[in-house]
Amino acid sequence: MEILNIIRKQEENNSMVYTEKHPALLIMGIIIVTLGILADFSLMDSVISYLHIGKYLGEMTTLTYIFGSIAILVGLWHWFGTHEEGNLDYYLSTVAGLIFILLIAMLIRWFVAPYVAVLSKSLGPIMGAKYLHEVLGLNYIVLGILTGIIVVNFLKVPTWAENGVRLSRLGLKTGVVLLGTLYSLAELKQLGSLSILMVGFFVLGSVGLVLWMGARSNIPSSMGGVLSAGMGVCGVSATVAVAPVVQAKSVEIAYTIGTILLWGVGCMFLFPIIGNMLNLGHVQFGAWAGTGILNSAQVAGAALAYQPDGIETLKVAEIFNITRVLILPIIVIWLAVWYVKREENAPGVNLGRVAFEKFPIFVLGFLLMFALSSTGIFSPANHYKGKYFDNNITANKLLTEPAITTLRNEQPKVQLEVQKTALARLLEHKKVMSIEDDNTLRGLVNANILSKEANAILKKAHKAVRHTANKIKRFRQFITWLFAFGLIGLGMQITFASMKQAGGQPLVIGGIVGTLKAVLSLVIVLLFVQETI
Amino acid sequence: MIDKEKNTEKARFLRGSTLTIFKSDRHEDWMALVLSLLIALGVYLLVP
Repeated sequence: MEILNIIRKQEENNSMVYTEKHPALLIMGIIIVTLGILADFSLMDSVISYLHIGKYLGEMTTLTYIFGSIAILVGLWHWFGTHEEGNLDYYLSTVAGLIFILLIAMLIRWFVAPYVAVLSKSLGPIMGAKYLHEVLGLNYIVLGILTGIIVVNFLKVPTWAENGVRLSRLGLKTGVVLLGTLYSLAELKQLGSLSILMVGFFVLGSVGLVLWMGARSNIPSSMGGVLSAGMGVCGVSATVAVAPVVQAKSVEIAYTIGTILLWGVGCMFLFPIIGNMLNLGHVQFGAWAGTGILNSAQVAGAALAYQPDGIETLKVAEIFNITRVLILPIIVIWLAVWYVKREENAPGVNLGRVAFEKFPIFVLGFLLMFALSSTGIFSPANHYKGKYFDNNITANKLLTEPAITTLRNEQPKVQLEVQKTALARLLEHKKVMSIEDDNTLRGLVNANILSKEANAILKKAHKAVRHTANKIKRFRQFITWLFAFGLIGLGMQITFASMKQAGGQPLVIGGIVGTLKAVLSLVIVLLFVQETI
Repeated sequence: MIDKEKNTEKARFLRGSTLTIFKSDRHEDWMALVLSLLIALGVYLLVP
């Protein structure tokens, strides 16, 4: 009996230790550092040239050394150290999963996605000037998420990596908070007001529609309540937040999460393809994805899949996403009141406490970063889209005589007085003279009035006077990698088993409301949202 | 199904949930905020 107790106690103790004595982390560290050395000492120049990945050389020689060294040090401790239950064991055990995801991200971003692009380009353009990989959105983000899904469903996430995979959502949230550094006040005001209108209408509309359809289909109030939050606000988080308020049963939560995942994953891959077919601008696509896709992570996934080498679409989509997340406490209160009115045995709800508890703190972090950035500590305060205006440029960046002739020939096409004046000033001084002129001329380019050649000249003039601050460049890099990390980890959490939970009336209602929201928001974006916002 | 998952989850992770290593969403939000501030401080001090 005593022996049995000792064994049981030992088993209990073992289950508390998260670090596995395994060489995997050490091996991954050595692989990553080797990659860095190969890139640093020009030992894979032919590969870099063949894949056209010279632009990643900086990352390849910094990230590899930093994370490779961390992996080797912690890997040695994992393999040879003594591990006991506690915070050190718990948090350091996550490093293996973190490096596992990062290694996948590195291989896909630097080698797999560029190779897919090379293969696709060898087939020639298939839709206008676009290649197959551009139309299908086969970039490092989509390939990374797909790899995550394949790993978890067909190969299984290794046990030594399981704990670290749970850091992916932290990566996404940190990325959102840091995004705050990239907005200017003008941008935030313009995007914010548009997002409040669109998200407000579609969130409240979807919640109301699901509740109405649920009542007509005679599904339980708890099921209708939890599904309406999931389909209306921000997917899984909203479902979990609303579940206790409407006394949702486990099976109802499972149905809702299954429906959201099935719908959201489909949208994440389909939206970029449709966006490419319709040739949507970055603002248009960001607004559509931020409104039409249900889950926060999938919004980021679709935005980065649409524009993998830039961050403009992600910035727009995240403003919409944040607006939607901010509506969550209001929806929880609405559903609490609605449920109490419908069900006699519903528990009383403290509305103020609910609003406080459900308020997403990371949104405050985003606003804090925006406030810090607005003081000008990371870049000049008048930056727009992370770039600041400075027209003290060298002579070789001034407009050339042939460029001036081209623009003069097209001057009569310009009708708006403000655009005429800005263009005249550009021609007179051979460079953009003010931030206002720059914005006006960007509007002229986006309006597609002039020829391609003239637009290219205007874009060049814009680039000559807009500069990205070094600190902002670094923030962009951090954000890109945090989102890549978070999204690949997210892929590793999308199991077919959880999607199979969807079914019955909730799936039908969810499908109808989700489709309506996606189609209607696309129509509104096409009709009312312009690229020059 | 969810109950079954929760049981498995409990056996695999005694802290947090299948989605996060932290005990609650709010805790995770705070950690994201702290991590962002650390990155911002690093960028401010180290990037010219």
